Amino acid sequence: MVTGASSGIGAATASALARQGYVVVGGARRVGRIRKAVGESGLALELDVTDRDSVERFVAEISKRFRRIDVLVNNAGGAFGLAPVAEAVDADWIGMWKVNVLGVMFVTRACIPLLRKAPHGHIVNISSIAGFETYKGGAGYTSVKHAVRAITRTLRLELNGEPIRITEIAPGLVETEFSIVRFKGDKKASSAVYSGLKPLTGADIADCIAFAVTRPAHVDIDEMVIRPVAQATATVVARKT
Amino acid sequence: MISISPDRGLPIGRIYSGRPHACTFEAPPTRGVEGGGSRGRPASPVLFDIDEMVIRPVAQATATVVARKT
Repeated sequence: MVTGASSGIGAATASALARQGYVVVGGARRVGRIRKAVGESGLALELDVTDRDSVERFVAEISKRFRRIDVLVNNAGGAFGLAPVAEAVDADWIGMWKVNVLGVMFVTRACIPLLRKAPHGHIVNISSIAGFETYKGGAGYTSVKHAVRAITRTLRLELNGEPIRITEIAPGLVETEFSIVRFKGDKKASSAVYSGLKPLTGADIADCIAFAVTRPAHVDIDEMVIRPVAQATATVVARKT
Repeated sequence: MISISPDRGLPIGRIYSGRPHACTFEAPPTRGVEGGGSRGRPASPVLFDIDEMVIRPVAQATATVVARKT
């Protein structure tokens, strides 16, 4: 099961897992864009992770059709705006906390009973280097990704002793719709984020997720941090001019 | 002096930023991550850096929290 499966890392992950032989259920608001990613054996369903009722309907449908979940990929998320804290925009912060934090909680809480029905469950949370770094203007996004990191580490303690693996995937610069959304459609500002370097792609991250979930059942890739080689930290990036 | 240790904050990544070196300091445990792995990954270590990887047995939550069957 992959949330945010309509584009970027989510779509690439749905495709990568389908290629590995998984029956993939992809969820997103833009359901029409999921079908290609999940492949012929997969299932595309509408999902708004910020809406508890939508999440519960989505998981109930999976329960009815498949009775269990082997792998949950909590991918849905995003950044809205780049304002400093002194000028923080309420709607941006509320939106980020809803989709990145409450969404992970709604989905994970609903899925744990089905993960427990699998021989070996696996929760993969897509975090970010923003989960352990900070940068000016980024407090809204870094705070929610720090929260995702805390949720992930807490899950590892709470589910310890059960055959459920927990993996945090923390990418650096990945060229997806991320910056278009952050800059509210401003393509010039968005493309500047990736200028002068070769960023990661959704497929690069999907490859790492596929690697993590296909390890033997006793091996937990606890955490994986992936960056383009030109990126040393969130703010130190070597660009060719 | 550069300290080579598996701690976050290792300076190597910053020193080499902009040069064609991937600075992975927790080596991948098995096939498939380094260039040319068994799953057909293109050998492109200069563009794709697994910066850090932490691997535990599923029974181990932290250094001190381990589920043991008695």
